Amino acid sequence: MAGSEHDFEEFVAARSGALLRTAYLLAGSHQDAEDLVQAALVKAVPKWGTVREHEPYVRRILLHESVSRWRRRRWRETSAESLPEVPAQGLDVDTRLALRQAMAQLAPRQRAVVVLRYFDDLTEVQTAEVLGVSVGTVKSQARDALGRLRTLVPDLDADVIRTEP
Amino acid sequence: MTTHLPERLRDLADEAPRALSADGLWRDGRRRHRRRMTTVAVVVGTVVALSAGVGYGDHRSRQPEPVTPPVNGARPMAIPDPLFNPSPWLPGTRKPGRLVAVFSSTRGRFPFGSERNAIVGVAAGSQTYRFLDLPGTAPEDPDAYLSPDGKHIAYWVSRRQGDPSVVPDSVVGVAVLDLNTGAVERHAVDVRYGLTPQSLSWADSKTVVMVAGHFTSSGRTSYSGRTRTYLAAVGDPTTHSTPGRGNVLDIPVTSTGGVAAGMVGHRRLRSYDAGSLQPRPDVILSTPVKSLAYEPSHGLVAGTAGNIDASGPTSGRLVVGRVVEGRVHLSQVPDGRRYDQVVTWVDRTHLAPVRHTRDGLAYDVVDVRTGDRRQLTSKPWYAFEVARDALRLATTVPGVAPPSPWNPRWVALGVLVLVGAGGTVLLLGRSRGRL
Repeated sequence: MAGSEHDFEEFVAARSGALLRTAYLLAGSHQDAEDLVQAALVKAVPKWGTVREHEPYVRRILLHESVSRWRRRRWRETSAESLPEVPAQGLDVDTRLALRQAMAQLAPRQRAVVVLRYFDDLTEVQTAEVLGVSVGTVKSQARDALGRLRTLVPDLDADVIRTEP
Repeated sequence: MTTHLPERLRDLADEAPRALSADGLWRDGRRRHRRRMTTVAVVVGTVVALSAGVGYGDHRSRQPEPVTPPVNGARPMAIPDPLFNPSPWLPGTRKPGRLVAVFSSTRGRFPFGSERNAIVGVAAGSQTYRFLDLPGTAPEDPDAYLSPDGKHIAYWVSRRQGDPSVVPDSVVGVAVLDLNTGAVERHAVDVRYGLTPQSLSWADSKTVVMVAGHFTSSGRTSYSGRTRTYLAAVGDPTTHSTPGRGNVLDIPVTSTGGVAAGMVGHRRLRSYDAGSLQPRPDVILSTPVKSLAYEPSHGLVAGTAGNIDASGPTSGRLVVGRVVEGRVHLSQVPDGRRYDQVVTWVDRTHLAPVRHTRDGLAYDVVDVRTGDRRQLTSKPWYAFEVARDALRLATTVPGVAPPSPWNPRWVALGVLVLVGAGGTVLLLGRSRGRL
Protein backbone atom coordinates (compact mmCIF):
# COMPACT_ATOMS: atom_id res chain seq x y z
CA MET A 1 0.00 0.00 0.00
CA ALA A 2 2.91 2.34 0.81
CA GLY A 3 4.23 1.74 -2.72
CA SER A 4 0.88 2.66 -4.22
CA GLU A 5 0.76 5.83 -2.14
CA HIS A 6 4.26 6.76 -3.31
CA ASP A 7 3.24 6.09 -6.95
CA PHE A 8 0.14 8.19 -6.44
CA GLU A 9 2.10 11.13 -5.04
CA GLU A 10 4.60 10.91 -7.88
CA PHE A 11 1.75 10.88 -10.38
CA VAL A 12 0.16 13.97 -8.81
CA ALA A 13 3.47 15.82 -8.84
CA ALA A 14 4.12 14.94 -12.49
CA ARG A 15 0.67 15.16 -14.07
CA SER A 16 -1.47 17.53 -11.97
CA GLY A 17 -0.48 20.47 -14.18
CA ALA A 18 -1.79 18.76 -17.32
CA LEU A 19 -4.95 17.61 -15.54
CA LEU A 20 -5.54 21.16 -14.28
CA ARG A 21 -5.34 22.54 -17.82
CA THR A 22 -8.07 20.17 -18.99
CA ALA A 23 -10.10 20.78 -15.83
CA TYR A 24 -9.84 24.54 -16.30
CA LEU A 25 -11.38 24.30 -19.76
CA LEU A 26 -14.16 22.11 -18.38
CA ALA A 27 -14.85 24.17 -15.25
CA GLY A 28 -13.97 27.75 -16.22
CA SER A 29 -12.39 28.88 -12.93
CA HIS A 30 -9.29 28.15 -10.85
CA GLN A 31 -11.22 27.00 -7.82
CA ASP A 32 -13.53 24.69 -9.72
CA ALA A 33 -10.63 23.27 -11.74
CA GLU A 34 -8.70 22.46 -8.56
CA ASP A 35 -11.81 20.98 -6.93
CA LEU A 36 -12.44 18.88 -10.00
CA VAL A 37 -8.91 17.46 -10.17
CA GLN A 38 -8.84 16.81 -6.41
CA ALA A 39 -12.18 15.02 -6.57
CA ALA A 40 -11.03 12.90 -9.51
CA LEU A 41 -7.79 11.95 -7.75
CA VAL A 42 -9.58 11.09 -4.49
CA LYS A 43 -12.03 8.90 -6.42
CA ALA A 44 -9.15 7.17 -8.19
CA VAL A 45 -7.44 6.11 -4.94
CA PRO A 46 -9.42 2.91 -4.19
CA LYS A 47 -8.48 1.31 -7.54
CA TRP A 48 -5.01 2.84 -7.82
CA GLY A 49 -3.24 -0.48 -7.26
CA THR A 50 -5.32 -2.38 -9.81
CA VAL A 51 -5.45 0.12 -12.69
CA ARG A 52 -2.64 -0.20 -15.22
CA GLU A 53 -2.91 3.14 -17.03
CA HIS A 54 -3.42 5.77 -14.37
CA GLU A 55 -3.77 8.93 -16.46
CA PRO A 56 -6.59 7.73 -18.77
CA TYR A 57 -8.39 6.41 -15.70
CA VAL A 58 -8.12 9.72 -13.83
CA ARG A 59 -9.08 11.68 -16.92
CA ARG A 60 -12.19 9.55 -17.40
CA ILE A 61 -13.23 10.23 -13.80
CA LEU A 62 -12.47 13.91 -14.31
CA LEU A 63 -14.78 14.15 -17.33
CA HIS A 64 -17.64 12.26 -15.72
CA GLU A 65 -17.23 14.30 -12.55
CA SER A 66 -17.39 17.55 -14.55
CA VAL A 67 -20.70 16.51 -16.11
CA SER A 68 -22.29 15.24 -12.90
CA ARG A 69 -21.05 18.24 -10.90
CA TRP A 70 -22.55 20.55 -13.40
CA ARG A 71 -25.91 18.86 -12.94
CA ARG A 72 -25.68 19.41 -9.19
CA ARG A 73 -24.60 23.05 -9.46
CA ARG A 74 -26.11 24.52 -12.59
CA TRP A 75 -25.97 28.02 -11.21
CA ARG A 76 -22.19 27.96 -11.37
CA GLU A 77 -22.41 28.15 -15.14
CA THR A 78 -22.86 31.91 -14.99
CA SER A 79 -19.52 32.38 -13.25
CA ALA A 80 -17.63 33.03 -16.47
CA GLU A 81 -18.29 36.76 -16.26
CA SER A 82 -15.22 37.32 -14.04
CA LEU A 83 -11.87 38.25 -15.48
CA PRO A 84 -9.02 35.76 -15.80
CA GLU A 85 -7.23 35.11 -12.55
CA VAL A 86 -3.72 35.26 -13.99
CA PRO A 87 -2.21 37.86 -16.29
CA ALA A 88 -3.02 36.99 -19.89
CA GLN A 89 -0.22 36.16 -22.29
CA GLY A 90 -0.43 35.10 -25.93
CA LEU A 91 -3.81 36.01 -27.35
CA ASP A 92 -5.44 39.14 -25.89
CA VAL A 93 -7.70 39.15 -22.83
CA ASP A 94 -10.88 39.85 -24.80
CA THR A 95 -10.23 36.85 -27.02
CA ARG A 96 -9.74 34.57 -24.04
CA LEU A 97 -12.71 35.98 -22.18
CA ALA A 98 -14.96 35.50 -25.22
CA LEU A 99 -13.98 31.85 -25.54
CA ARG A 100 -14.26 31.25 -21.79
CA GLN A 101 -17.77 32.71 -21.72
CA ALA A 102 -18.75 30.75 -24.82
CA MET A 103 -17.42 27.48 -23.34
CA ALA A 104 -19.43 28.18 -20.16
CA GLN A 105 -22.60 28.33 -22.23
CA LEU A 106 -22.12 24.87 -23.74
CA ALA A 107 -23.90 21.91 -22.23
CA PRO A 108 -21.46 19.90 -20.09
CA ARG A 109 -21.14 16.97 -22.48
CA GLN A 110 -20.71 19.32 -25.43
CA ARG A 111 -17.89 21.04 -23.53
CA ALA A 112 -16.30 17.68 -22.78
CA VAL A 113 -16.46 16.73 -26.47
CA VAL A 114 -14.83 20.04 -27.50
CA VAL A 115 -12.03 19.62 -24.95
CA LEU A 116 -11.33 16.01 -25.90
CA ARG A 117 -11.49 16.60 -29.66
CA TYR A 118 -9.80 19.97 -30.02
CA PHE A 119 -7.60 20.30 -26.92
CA ASP A 120 -6.61 16.73 -26.13
CA ASP A 121 -6.67 15.96 -29.88
CA LEU A 122 -8.54 12.65 -29.56
CA THR A 123 -10.30 11.08 -32.54
CA GLU A 124 -14.08 10.73 -32.63
CA VAL A 125 -13.78 7.04 -31.77
CA GLN A 126 -11.44 7.73 -28.82
CA THR A 127 -13.70 10.54 -27.59
CA ALA A 128 -16.71 8.24 -27.77
CA GLU A 129 -14.80 5.60 -25.81
CA VAL A 130 -13.74 8.02 -23.05
CA LEU A 131 -17.24 9.46 -22.64
CA GLY A 132 -18.98 6.10 -22.99
CA VAL A 133 -21.22 7.29 -25.82
CA SER A 134 -21.63 6.39 -29.49
CA VAL A 135 -19.54 7.93 -32.28
CA GLY A 136 -22.75 9.37 -33.72
CA THR A 137 -23.38 11.17 -30.44
CA VAL A 138 -19.85 12.60 -30.45
CA LYS A 139 -20.45 13.87 -34.00
CA SER A 140 -23.77 15.47 -33.17
CA GLN A 141 -22.51 16.98 -29.90
CA ALA A 142 -19.43 18.38 -31.65
CA ARG A 143 -21.58 19.80 -34.42
CA ASP A 144 -23.94 21.45 -31.93
CA ALA A 145 -21.07 22.72 -29.77
CA LEU A 146 -19.11 24.19 -32.67
CA GLY A 147 -22.27 25.74 -34.05
CA ARG A 148 -22.90 27.48 -30.76
CA LEU A 149 -19.26 28.51 -30.32
CA ARG A 150 -19.37 30.02 -33.75
CA THR A 151 -22.51 31.98 -32.85
CA LEU A 152 -20.98 33.23 -29.62
CA VAL A 153 -17.45 33.88 -30.92
CA PRO A 154 -17.95 35.18 -34.45
CA ASP A 155 -14.25 35.25 -35.38
CA LEU A 156 -14.09 31.47 -34.96
CA ASP A 157 -15.05 31.04 -38.57
CA ALA A 158 -15.79 27.70 -40.20
CA ASP A 159 -12.51 27.90 -42.08
CA VAL A 160 -10.44 28.27 -38.94
CA ILE A 161 -11.99 25.51 -36.86
CA ARG A 162 -9.84 22.67 -38.10
CA THR A 163 -11.08 19.16 -37.62
CA GLU A 164 -9.74 15.78 -38.56
CA PRO A 165 -10.38 14.69 -42.12
CA MET B 1 -8.53 38.46 -35.78
CA THR B 2 -9.38 34.84 -36.45
CA THR B 3 -7.60 31.87 -34.92
CA HIS B 4 -7.91 28.11 -34.75
CA LEU B 5 -10.01 26.65 -31.98
CA PRO B 6 -7.24 24.28 -30.74
CA GLU B 7 -4.83 27.22 -30.52
CA ARG B 8 -7.39 29.24 -28.58
CA LEU B 9 -8.10 26.37 -26.21
CA ARG B 10 -4.38 25.94 -25.52
CA ASP B 11 -4.07 29.65 -24.89
CA LEU B 12 -7.06 29.61 -22.52
CA ALA B 13 -5.66 26.58 -20.69
CA ASP B 14 -2.51 28.59 -19.96
CA GLU B 15 -4.61 30.43 -17.36
CA ALA B 16 -5.01 27.18 -15.38
CA PRO B 17 -3.30 26.70 -12.01
CA ARG B 18 0.18 25.23 -12.47
CA ALA B 19 0.19 22.30 -10.03
CA LEU B 20 -1.66 20.65 -7.20
CA SER B 21 -0.35 19.37 -3.89
CA ALA B 22 -0.88 15.69 -3.16
CA ASP B 23 -1.09 16.37 0.58
CA GLY B 24 -3.94 14.43 2.15
CA LEU B 25 -5.45 13.23 -1.14
CA TRP B 26 -4.46 9.59 -0.61
CA ARG B 27 -5.80 9.63 2.96
CA ASP B 28 -9.04 11.28 1.80
CA GLY B 29 -9.42 8.67 -0.92
CA ARG B 30 -9.02 5.76 1.50
CA ARG B 31 -11.39 7.38 4.00
CA ARG B 32 -13.95 8.01 1.27
CA HIS B 33 -13.71 4.39 0.16
CA ARG B 34 -14.30 3.08 3.70
CA ARG B 35 -17.24 5.44 4.18
CA ARG B 36 -18.68 4.34 0.87
CA MET B 37 -18.44 0.66 1.76
CA THR B 38 -20.18 1.33 5.09
CA THR B 39 -22.91 3.31 3.34
CA VAL B 40 -23.43 0.55 0.81
CA ALA B 41 -23.85 -2.00 3.62
CA VAL B 42 -26.39 0.21 5.41
CA VAL B 43 -28.25 0.95 2.20
CA VAL B 44 -28.43 -2.72 1.23
CA GLY B 45 -29.92 -3.52 4.64
CA THR B 46 -32.41 -0.69 4.32
CA VAL B 47 -33.38 -1.76 0.81
CA VAL B 48 -34.07 -5.29 1.98
CA ALA B 49 -36.22 -3.96 4.82
CA LEU B 50 -38.10 -1.63 2.53
CA SER B 51 -38.40 -3.93 -0.45
CA ALA B 52 -42.16 -3.97 -0.29
CA GLY B 53 -42.45 -0.19 -0.20
CA VAL B 54 -39.73 0.31 -2.80
CA GLY B 55 -41.34 -2.24 -5.08
CA TYR B 56 -44.52 -0.27 -4.90
CA GLY B 57 -42.73 2.99 -5.70
CA ASP B 58 -40.82 1.38 -8.56
CA HIS B 59 -44.03 -0.01 -9.95
CA ARG B 60 -45.58 3.44 -9.83
CA SER B 61 -42.60 5.16 -11.49
CA ARG B 62 -42.51 2.63 -14.34
CA GLN B 63 -46.22 2.46 -14.87
CA PRO B 64 -47.00 4.10 -18.17
CA GLU B 65 -49.58 6.82 -18.15
CA PRO B 66 -52.82 6.04 -19.89
CA VAL B 67 -52.21 5.91 -23.62
CA THR B 68 -52.76 9.24 -25.28
CA PRO B 69 -55.41 8.82 -27.92
CA PRO B 70 -53.66 9.16 -31.26
CA VAL B 71 -54.31 12.38 -33.06
CA ASN B 72 -56.59 11.79 -35.96
CA GLY B 73 -54.53 11.59 -39.14
CA ALA B 74 -56.66 14.26 -40.76
CA ARG B 75 -56.16 16.74 -37.93
CA PRO B 76 -53.25 19.12 -38.34
CA MET B 77 -50.25 18.66 -36.03
CA ALA B 78 -49.59 21.97 -34.33
CA ILE B 79 -46.07 22.64 -33.01
CA PRO B 80 -45.83 23.75 -29.36
CA ASP B 81 -43.73 26.88 -28.94
CA PRO B 82 -41.61 26.73 -26.88
CA LEU B 83 -40.62 23.18 -25.99
CA PHE B 84 -39.15 22.46 -22.55
CA ASN B 85 -36.45 20.30 -20.97
CA PRO B 86 -38.47 18.01 -18.69
CA SER B 87 -37.90 16.52 -15.24
CA PRO B 88 -35.72 13.36 -15.15
CA TRP B 89 -38.58 11.63 -13.34
CA LEU B 90 -41.22 11.69 -16.06
CA PRO B 91 -42.83 8.28 -16.64
CA GLY B 92 -41.74 6.16 -19.58
CA THR B 93 -43.88 4.51 -22.21
CA ARG B 94 -43.71 2.65 -25.53
CA LYS B 95 -47.12 3.89 -26.62
CA PRO B 96 -47.18 7.69 -26.37
CA GLY B 97 -49.38 8.08 -29.46
CA ARG B 98 -48.44 10.32 -32.36
CA LEU B 99 -45.51 12.62 -31.57
CA VAL B 100 -44.80 16.14 -32.75
CA ALA B 101 -41.21 16.36 -31.43
CA VAL B 102 -38.46 14.24 -29.88
CA PHE B 103 -35.17 15.06 -28.18
CA SER B 104 -32.57 13.64 -25.83
CA SER B 105 -32.71 14.41 -22.10
CA THR B 106 -31.38 12.98 -18.84
CA ARG B 107 -33.52 10.34 -17.14
CA GLY B 108 -33.30 9.36 -13.48
CA ARG B 109 -33.15 5.75 -12.31
CA PHE B 110 -35.07 4.48 -9.31
CA PRO B 111 -34.18 3.43 -6.68
CA PHE B 112 -30.44 3.80 -7.41
CA GLY B 113 -28.15 4.55 -10.35
CA SER B 114 -26.92 7.69 -12.04
CA GLU B 115 -28.87 9.63 -14.63
CA ARG B 116 -28.48 8.59 -18.26
CA ASN B 117 -29.58 9.96 -21.59
CA ALA B 118 -32.94 8.91 -22.96
CA ILE B 119 -35.33 10.05 -25.66
CA VAL B 120 -38.31 12.24 -24.76
CA GLY B 121 -41.37 12.41 -27.00
CA VAL B 122 -43.91 15.24 -27.04
CA ALA B 123 -47.39 14.00 -27.98
CA ALA B 124 -49.17 15.80 -30.79
CA GLY B 125 -52.30 17.52 -29.55
CA SER B 126 -52.02 16.87 -25.80
CA GLN B 127 -48.37 18.08 -25.50
CA THR B 128 -47.72 15.26 -23.02
CA TYR B 129 -43.99 14.72 -22.41
CA ARG B 130 -42.91 11.10 -21.87
CA PHE B 131 -39.62 9.20 -21.95
CA LEU B 132 -39.71 6.59 -24.71
CA ASP B 133 -38.79 3.05 -23.67
CA LEU B 134 -36.80 1.92 -26.70
CA PRO B 135 -35.89 -1.78 -26.38
CA GLY B 136 -32.42 -2.76 -27.58
CA THR B 137 -31.06 0.75 -28.00
CA ALA B 138 -27.49 1.66 -27.05
CA PRO B 139 -27.96 2.10 -23.28
CA GLU B 140 -25.76 5.15 -22.71
CA ASP B 141 -26.75 7.39 -25.55
CA PRO B 142 -29.70 6.57 -27.70
CA ASP B 143 -30.37 8.63 -30.78
CA ALA B 144 -33.82 8.33 -32.31
CA TYR B 145 -35.42 9.76 -35.44
CA LEU B 146 -39.09 10.59 -35.85
CA SER B 147 -40.98 9.65 -39.01
CA PRO B 148 -42.43 12.60 -40.95
CA ASP B 149 -45.98 11.75 -39.80
CA GLY B 150 -44.89 11.31 -36.15
CA LYS B 151 -46.27 7.75 -35.93
CA HIS B 152 -42.99 5.80 -35.81
CA ILE B 153 -39.54 6.32 -34.40
CA ALA B 154 -36.37 4.67 -35.70
CA TYR B 155 -33.20 4.07 -33.72
CA TRP B 156 -29.94 2.16 -34.02
CA VAL B 157 -29.78 -1.13 -32.17
CA SER B 158 -26.54 -2.24 -30.60
CA ARG B 159 -24.78 -5.57 -30.92
CA ARG B 160 -26.01 -8.74 -29.32
CA GLN B 161 -24.54 -9.12 -25.85
CA GLY B 162 -21.83 -11.76 -25.67
CA ASP B 163 -21.08 -11.80 -29.39
CA PRO B 164 -17.28 -11.43 -29.46
CA SER B 165 -17.01 -11.05 -33.23
CA VAL B 166 -18.88 -7.73 -33.25
CA VAL B 167 -16.94 -4.55 -32.44
CA PRO B 168 -17.97 -3.14 -29.05
CA ASP B 169 -20.28 -0.10 -29.28
CA SER B 170 -21.02 -0.84 -32.93
CA VAL B 171 -24.58 -1.23 -34.20
CA VAL B 172 -26.14 -4.08 -36.15
CA GLY B 173 -29.24 -2.47 -37.63
CA VAL B 174 -32.24 -0.35 -36.74
CA ALA B 175 -35.48 -0.85 -34.88
CA VAL B 176 -38.73 0.95 -35.61
CA LEU B 177 -41.21 1.53 -32.80
CA ASP B 178 -44.88 1.99 -33.63
CA LEU B 179 -45.85 4.81 -31.28
CA ASN B 180 -49.53 3.86 -31.21
CA THR B 181 -49.22 0.12 -30.56
CA GLY B 182 -45.77 -0.14 -28.93
CA ALA B 183 -44.78 -2.85 -31.43
CA VAL B 184 -41.08 -2.95 -32.37
CA GLU B 185 -39.77 -4.07 -35.76
CA ARG B 186 -36.08 -4.93 -36.11
CA HIS B 187 -34.25 -4.46 -39.38
CA ALA B 188 -30.85 -6.14 -39.16
CA VAL B 189 -28.01 -5.47 -41.57
CA ASP B 190 -26.10 -8.57 -42.59
CA VAL B 191 -22.57 -7.64 -41.49
CA ARG B 192 -20.01 -9.69 -39.62
CA TYR B 193 -18.27 -7.14 -37.40
CA GLY B 194 -20.89 -4.46 -36.92
CA LEU B 195 -21.48 -0.99 -38.28
CA THR B 196 -20.52 2.50 -37.20
CA PRO B 197 -23.60 4.66 -37.69
CA GLN B 198 -23.37 7.82 -39.75
CA SER B 199 -26.93 8.96 -40.34
CA LEU B 200 -30.50 7.76 -40.01
CA SER B 201 -33.41 9.48 -41.71
CA TRP B 202 -36.81 8.88 -43.28
CA ALA B 203 -37.42 9.04 -47.06
CA ASP B 204 -41.15 9.09 -46.34
CA SER B 205 -43.33 7.98 -43.42
CA LYS B 206 -42.75 4.30 -44.26
CA THR B 207 -39.10 4.14 -45.33
CA VAL B 208 -36.01 4.40 -43.15
CA VAL B 209 -32.67 5.35 -44.74
CA MET B 210 -29.52 4.18 -42.94
CA VAL B 211 -26.00 5.29 -43.82
CA ALA B 212 -23.30 3.38 -41.97
CA GLY B 213 -19.65 2.41 -42.22
CA HIS B 214 -18.24 -1.10 -41.89
CA PHE B 215 -15.65 -2.62 -39.62
CA THR B 216 -13.35 -5.08 -41.36
CA SER B 217 -12.39 -7.05 -38.24
CA SER B 218 -13.42 -7.25 -34.61
CA GLY B 219 -11.07 -4.40 -33.56
CA ARG B 220 -12.29 -0.84 -33.03
CA THR B 221 -9.58 0.51 -35.32
CA SER B 222 -10.69 -1.59 -38.27
CA TYR B 223 -13.24 0.95 -39.48
CA SER B 224 -12.97 0.91 -43.27
CA GLY B 225 -13.96 4.54 -43.79
CA ARG B 226 -16.42 3.42 -46.48
CA THR B 227 -20.14 3.90 -46.04
CA ARG B 228 -23.16 2.19 -47.58
CA THR B 229 -26.79 3.19 -47.74
CA TYR B 230 -29.52 0.76 -46.59
CA LEU B 231 -33.26 1.05 -46.84
CA ALA B 232 -35.89 -0.57 -44.63
CA ALA B 233 -39.66 -0.31 -45.01
CA VAL B 234 -42.11 -0.33 -42.09
CA GLY B 235 -43.92 -3.67 -42.13
CA ASP B 236 -41.14 -5.47 -44.04
CA PRO B 237 -38.27 -6.89 -41.94
CA THR B 238 -35.95 -7.13 -44.95
CA THR B 239 -33.16 -4.57 -45.15
CA HIS B 240 -32.06 -3.60 -48.64
CA SER B 241 -28.62 -2.36 -49.60
CA THR B 242 -28.52 0.24 -52.34
CA PRO B 243 -26.04 -0.26 -55.18
CA GLY B 244 -22.72 0.96 -53.73
CA ARG B 245 -21.67 3.92 -55.82
CA GLY B 246 -19.52 6.38 -53.91
CA ASN B 247 -19.04 7.23 -50.27
CA VAL B 248 -21.93 9.16 -48.72
CA LEU B 249 -20.60 12.18 -46.83
CA ASP B 250 -21.62 13.06 -43.29
CA ILE B 251 -23.90 15.89 -44.40
CA PRO B 252 -27.54 16.09 -43.23
CA VAL B 253 -29.79 15.47 -46.24
CA THR B 254 -33.57 15.13 -46.14
CA SER B 255 -35.80 14.12 -48.99
CA THR B 256 -39.47 13.47 -49.58
CA GLY B 257 -41.74 11.39 -51.78
CA GLY B 258 -40.07 8.02 -51.16
CA VAL B 259 -36.69 9.14 -52.43
CA ALA B 260 -33.56 8.33 -50.40
CA ALA B 261 -30.83 10.92 -50.92
CA GLY B 262 -27.29 11.67 -49.82
CA MET B 263 -24.26 13.70 -50.87
CA VAL B 264 -21.46 11.66 -52.45
CA GLY B 265 -19.29 14.64 -53.31
CA HIS B 266 -19.27 18.20 -52.12
CA ARG B 267 -21.59 19.16 -54.93
CA ARG B 268 -23.13 15.86 -56.05
CA LEU B 269 -26.55 14.73 -54.80
CA ARG B 270 -27.23 11.01 -55.26
CA SER B 271 -30.69 9.55 -54.80
CA TYR B 272 -32.60 6.27 -55.07
CA ASP B 273 -36.20 5.37 -55.49
CA ALA B 274 -36.97 3.75 -52.14
CA GLY B 275 -39.51 1.33 -53.58
CA SER B 276 -37.51 -0.09 -56.50
CA LEU B 277 -33.99 0.70 -55.17
CA GLN B 278 -33.25 2.06 -58.62
CA PRO B 279 -30.76 4.92 -58.74
CA ARG B 280 -32.09 8.26 -59.96
CA PRO B 281 -29.94 10.64 -62.01
CA ASP B 282 -27.36 12.53 -59.96
CA VAL B 283 -27.89 16.25 -59.40
CA ILE B 284 -24.87 18.57 -59.61
CA LEU B 285 -25.01 21.66 -57.37
CA SER B 286 -23.45 24.99 -58.35
CA THR B 287 -22.32 25.56 -54.74
CA PRO B 288 -21.16 23.16 -52.00
CA VAL B 289 -23.64 22.81 -49.14
CA LYS B 290 -23.43 21.79 -45.49
CA SER B 291 -27.00 20.49 -45.30
CA LEU B 292 -29.62 19.88 -47.95
CA ALA B 293 -33.39 19.45 -48.37
CA TYR B 294 -34.57 17.84 -51.60
CA GLU B 295 -38.13 17.97 -52.95
CA PRO B 296 -37.86 15.63 -55.96
CA SER B 297 -41.47 15.97 -57.11
CA HIS B 298 -40.87 19.64 -57.97
CA GLY B 299 -37.10 19.43 -58.45
CA LEU B 300 -36.48 21.83 -55.58
CA VAL B 301 -33.15 21.91 -53.74
CA ALA B 302 -32.29 24.00 -50.68
CA GLY B 303 -29.14 24.04 -48.59
CA THR B 304 -26.93 25.89 -46.18
CA ALA B 305 -23.98 27.12 -48.21
CA GLY B 306 -20.32 26.94 -47.28
CA ASN B 307 -17.20 24.82 -47.46
CA ILE B 308 -17.68 21.21 -46.57
CA ASP B 309 -16.12 20.13 -43.29
CA ALA B 310 -17.41 16.77 -42.14
CA SER B 311 -16.90 17.41 -38.43
CA GLY B 312 -17.14 21.18 -38.35
CA PRO B 313 -20.04 23.51 -37.77
CA THR B 314 -22.78 23.27 -40.32
CA SER B 315 -24.12 26.81 -40.20
CA GLY B 316 -24.35 28.73 -43.43
CA ARG B 317 -26.63 30.98 -45.45
CA LEU B 318 -29.72 29.56 -47.15
CA VAL B 319 -29.43 28.84 -50.87
CA VAL B 320 -32.18 27.49 -53.13
CA GLY B 321 -32.62 26.38 -56.72
CA ARG B 322 -34.54 24.15 -59.13
CA VAL B 323 -33.10 21.12 -60.92
CA VAL B 324 -32.77 21.62 -64.68
CA GLU B 325 -31.28 18.78 -66.72
CA GLY B 326 -29.40 17.30 -63.78
CA ARG B 327 -27.97 20.60 -62.57
CA VAL B 328 -29.14 23.18 -60.10
CA HIS B 329 -27.96 26.76 -59.75
CA LEU B 330 -28.25 27.72 -56.10
CA SER B 331 -29.02 31.36 -55.24
CA GLN B 332 -28.85 32.93 -51.81
CA VAL B 333 -32.14 33.65 -50.03
CA PRO B 334 -32.48 37.40 -49.27
CA ASP B 335 -32.69 36.71 -45.50
CA GLY B 336 -28.88 36.49 -45.17
CA ARG B 337 -29.16 34.89 -41.72
CA ARG B 338 -27.01 31.85 -40.88
CA TYR B 339 -28.71 28.54 -40.21
CA ASP B 340 -27.36 25.24 -38.91
CA GLN B 341 -29.43 23.02 -41.14
CA VAL B 342 -32.22 23.25 -43.66
CA VAL B 343 -34.73 20.61 -42.58
CA THR B 344 -37.47 20.50 -45.19
CA TRP B 345 -39.42 22.37 -47.82
CA VAL B 346 -42.71 23.58 -46.31
CA ASP B 347 -44.17 24.31 -49.75
CA ARG B 348 -42.72 25.50 -53.05
CA THR B 349 -41.74 28.91 -51.62
CA HIS B 350 -41.05 28.26 -47.94
CA LEU B 351 -38.33 26.40 -46.06
CA ALA B 352 -38.02 25.18 -42.50
CA PRO B 353 -34.41 25.63 -41.31
CA VAL B 354 -33.01 25.36 -37.78
CA ARG B 355 -30.59 27.80 -36.14
CA HIS B 356 -28.74 28.28 -32.88
CA THR B 357 -30.04 30.85 -30.42
CA ARG B 358 -28.23 32.14 -27.32
CA ASP B 359 -29.49 29.25 -25.24
CA GLY B 360 -30.56 26.53 -27.64
CA LEU B 361 -32.08 25.92 -31.05
CA ALA B 362 -35.03 27.36 -32.96
CA TYR B 363 -36.95 26.25 -36.06
CA ASP B 364 -38.09 29.00 -38.45
CA VAL B 365 -40.20 29.09 -41.57
CA VAL B 366 -38.56 31.28 -44.24
CA ASP B 367 -40.02 32.68 -47.45
CA VAL B 368 -37.30 32.02 -50.05
CA ARG B 369 -38.50 34.89 -52.27
CA THR B 370 -38.40 37.68 -49.67
CA GLY B 371 -36.39 36.25 -46.78
CA ASP B 372 -39.29 36.96 -44.39
CA ARG B 373 -39.12 34.56 -41.49
CA ARG B 374 -41.27 33.45 -38.58
CA GLN B 375 -40.10 31.39 -35.62
CA LEU B 376 -42.01 28.13 -35.26
CA THR B 377 -40.58 26.84 -32.00
CA SER B 378 -37.49 26.79 -29.81
CA LYS B 379 -36.00 24.78 -26.97
CA PRO B 380 -33.04 25.36 -24.69
CA TRP B 381 -29.94 23.22 -25.04
CA TYR B 382 -29.70 19.99 -26.92
CA ALA B 383 -30.91 19.52 -30.45
CA PHE B 384 -34.50 18.45 -31.03
CA GLU B 385 -36.41 17.09 -34.00
CA VAL B 386 -39.86 18.20 -35.09
CA ALA B 387 -42.03 15.90 -37.24
CA ARG B 388 -41.60 17.05 -40.84
CA ASP B 389 -45.36 16.91 -41.54
CA ALA B 390 -45.85 19.36 -38.65
CA LEU B 391 -43.15 21.65 -40.09
CA ARG B 392 -44.90 21.58 -43.46
CA LEU B 393 -48.14 22.70 -41.82
CA ALA B 394 -46.21 25.40 -39.91
CA THR B 395 -49.00 25.78 -37.34
CA THR B 396 -47.99 26.59 -33.76
CA VAL B 397 -49.71 26.55 -30.38
CA PRO B 398 -48.46 27.98 -27.08
CA GLY B 399 -46.19 25.42 -25.42
CA VAL B 400 -47.27 24.00 -22.09
CA ALA B 401 -44.51 23.09 -19.62
CA PRO B 402 -44.58 19.43 -18.52
CA PRO B 403 -45.25 18.66 -14.85
CA SER B 404 -42.31 18.13 -12.51
CA PRO B 405 -42.92 14.86 -10.65
CA TRP B 406 -41.35 14.50 -7.21
CA ASN B 407 -38.08 12.65 -7.00
CA PRO B 408 -39.26 9.12 -6.02
CA ARG B 409 -36.10 8.64 -3.93
CA TRP B 410 -37.23 11.44 -1.64
CA VAL B 411 -40.74 10.03 -1.58
CA ALA B 412 -39.39 6.62 -0.55
CA LEU B 413 -37.22 8.27 2.12
CA GLY B 414 -40.24 10.19 3.41
CA VAL B 415 -42.24 6.95 3.64
CA LEU B 416 -39.33 5.37 5.54
CA VAL B 417 -39.18 8.26 8.02
CA LEU B 418 -42.96 8.18 8.54
CA VAL B 419 -42.99 4.42 9.07
CA GLY B 420 -40.07 4.70 11.49
CA ALA B 421 -41.70 7.54 13.42
CA GLY B 422 -45.04 5.70 13.54
CA GLY B 423 -43.36 2.51 14.80
CA THR B 424 -41.48 4.44 17.48
CA VAL B 425 -44.68 6.13 18.71
CA LEU B 426 -46.44 2.76 18.77
CA LEU B 427 -43.66 1.10 20.75
CA LEU B 428 -43.46 3.99 23.22
CA GLY B 429 -47.25 3.92 23.69
CA ARG B 430 -47.22 0.16 24.39
CA SER B 431 -44.36 0.36 26.88
CA ARG B 432 -46.13 3.17 28.77
CA GLY B 433 -49.32 1.12 28.81
CA ARG B 434 -47.46 -1.74 30.53
CA LEU B 435 -46.06 0.54 33.26
